[in-house]
Amino acid sequence: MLEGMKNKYNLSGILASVVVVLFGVLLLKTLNTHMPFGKDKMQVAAQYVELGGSSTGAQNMVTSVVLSFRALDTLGEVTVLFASAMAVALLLAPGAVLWRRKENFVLKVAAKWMPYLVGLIGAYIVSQGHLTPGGGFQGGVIIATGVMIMLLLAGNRKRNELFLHSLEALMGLSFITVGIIGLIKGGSFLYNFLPNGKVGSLFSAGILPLLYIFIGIKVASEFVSILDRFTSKVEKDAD
Amino acid sequence: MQINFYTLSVFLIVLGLIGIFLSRDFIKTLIGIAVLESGVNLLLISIGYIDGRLAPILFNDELKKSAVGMVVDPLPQALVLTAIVIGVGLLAFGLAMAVWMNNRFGTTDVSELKELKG
Repeated sequence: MLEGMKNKYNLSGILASVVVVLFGVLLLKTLNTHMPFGKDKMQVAAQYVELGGSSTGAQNMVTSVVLSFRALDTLGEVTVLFASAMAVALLLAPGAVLWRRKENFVLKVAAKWMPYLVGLIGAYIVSQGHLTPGGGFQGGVIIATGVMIMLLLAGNRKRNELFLHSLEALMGLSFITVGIIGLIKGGSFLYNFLPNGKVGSLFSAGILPLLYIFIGIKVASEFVSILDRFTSKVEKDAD
Repeated sequence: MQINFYTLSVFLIVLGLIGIFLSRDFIKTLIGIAVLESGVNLLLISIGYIDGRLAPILFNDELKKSAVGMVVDPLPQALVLTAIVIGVGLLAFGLAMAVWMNNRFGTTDVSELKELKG
């Protein structure tokens, strides 16, 4: 016990921390000399800004970078998210006793209408992803939060995991299908084959809102399955 | 007065790294990783910041015509969007590992796991 107390902070850890502080000082100095804060350092993005609205039709420029100029990266990102959902599923294998907890009155009343309200906000953020700050990833997480409120009250009811996983797979497939249609129609993967429309209106920016809706539903189902794994494994101590 | 956000982000990075080095509890290590992540994200965003320019959203007609020289760098923001999502995935995986560790060994203290010592 005493030994454990003495070794609470090991020497190598403290040494490493000192080195890290020095690293921080150097990093700050380098940053301030080579890329001064608040100065124009745009290189690659200057072209994106120049092409921006006219080429993709998206009002939100970040969206046009994420889903048009760098859409392939986003496909990779979605894949990584899928991989982490899989890893969580592997580590927290099913078959455990579900989380049983006394129903909280506040939760019970709120759960009747909260999921719909939260879901509505999530859907709004997903559908306006090409216009305002937000998009598929953020909106998807918000939708997942709404479903989580439902899950907290689901008790021992069986979840339809097959539905969740097939929904996720379907959305991933749709993303790739849209990409391949672009390949056939325009000659490059994820080519924007729909009309750009008027910048700033809901139906604009070609395939970008479509892609964000797919991403939104995919992210939502992934997060719901991750959260579900965590709640259904907390058992043991509860009994 | 202008705030230099580099200082804050480097502070967060250093804090996160120290947290990772000094913690033996796996969950605290994960908290360190989360702090480190926010530091890196803030650093990327502040590198893209340009004095007196607007958010990269074409919200009026003047911007819609041409946004050159009027908006901040959208690329770091898009990258950070990716980084946040990956960070959440990493955190979920790490916490799942912590749950597994607790079920298997009854502790999340890494220094108590003698089985893996080589």
